[in-house]
Parts: sequence; C-alpha cells; structure tokens
Amino acid sequence: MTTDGATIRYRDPATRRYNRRMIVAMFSYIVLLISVQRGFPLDAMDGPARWVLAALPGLPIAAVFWLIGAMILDMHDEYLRLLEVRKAMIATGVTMTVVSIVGFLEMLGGAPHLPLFYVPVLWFGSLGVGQCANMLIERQRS
Amino acid sequence: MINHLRALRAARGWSQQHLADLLEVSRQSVNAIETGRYDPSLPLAFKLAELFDLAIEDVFVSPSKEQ
Repeated sequence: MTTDGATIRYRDPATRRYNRRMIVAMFSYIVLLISVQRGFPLDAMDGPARWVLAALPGLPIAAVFWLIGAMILDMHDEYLRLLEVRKAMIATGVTMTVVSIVGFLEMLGGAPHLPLFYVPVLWFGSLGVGQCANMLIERQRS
Repeated sequence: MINHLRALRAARGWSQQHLADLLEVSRQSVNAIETGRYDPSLPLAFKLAELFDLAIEDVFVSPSKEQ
C-alpha cells in the first residue's frame, strides 16, 4: 500500500530486472548477429578468428539461460517462483525427450542432422508447454 | 494444508489483493495458499499469522489433525 492508501499491484522486482536484462540480451543478439554476418567475410575466413566471430551471437542466447536462473533465485514471491521452476523443468524434460529421440533417429534411423542451434529454440518453445502445464495443474488442484 | 485464511480475511473485510499487498506477494499466491494449492514457507506462514495477530496453528491446521 502507498501512504495515501492506493493499492499497488504486485510485480516482483526480480521479474522487472529479468525483463530489462532480457531486452539488453536480445538487442545484443540482433546487433552481434547482423554485425558478424554483414561486417566480416566469414566464408573467406578460416581458423580461430572465424570461430570466435561465429560464436559471438550465441553468447546473448546463452546469457538468457543465466538470466532465467538469476530471476528464479532472486524472486521474492515463493509461489510464483515455484511456478517458474516447474515451467523450466517441464521445458527441460520436453527438450531432453525430443533431442534424445532425434539423436537416435539420426544415428540409427537415417534422419537428417538437426543443428544444435535448435536445442535452445526448442527449450524456449517448451516453456509454453510448461506454462500450459502450470495452468492445468493449478486448475486441477483448485 | 487446510487453513482458515478465507474466513479470517473475510472477518476483516480484506480482499485477496489487500492481503497480498500487506504480505508483499502476488494475489495468485494468496489465492493458492487460501485454496490449499500451495503450502507457504515458515517465514511466510509466520508473517500471515502475525498479520492476523494469531498463532500459526490458529491459521493453519496441522496435517496430523486433519480429518
């Protein structure tokens, strides 16, 4: 409550920090991706310099996982934290299930190779599955 | 865990949102605790009891005493 009695709707500071940092990470990703693709003749390069440049756009994506972890650790609201943890665990389970099966399909089933880049993409998409599972579980319990 | 939160809140005329503001948590958290979907941590349970000026066992029913 504010001093004049007006009600403040709860917003966890950790979530606000996460949103701000996420914007920075996504902006960095776009800038790095465009800079590396357009600023350097990657096809004409070889060796460590090319590897470092090629890895650069992956860093902001990797940072997102750390940001999610930091948000979960910093969250003040323990019930919302439980929901976030469950969502991330479901996303991890879905991703690991899919990549395990795809791995054997590639190795034994002659399926085309799936670039590793799609693993984090799949995980981010699976967060939606986790969100739906949260809604269903909570609705079932109420 | 069974609790008397809804009755205690209603007796004071507090909305879930008002209680959430006092506890500095979300309204969803209050709703989840009230409906027994989520058991709060000890610090949050103490905070709740202190808000109502009651002992924890006057707010939450011990699982061993649930029928």
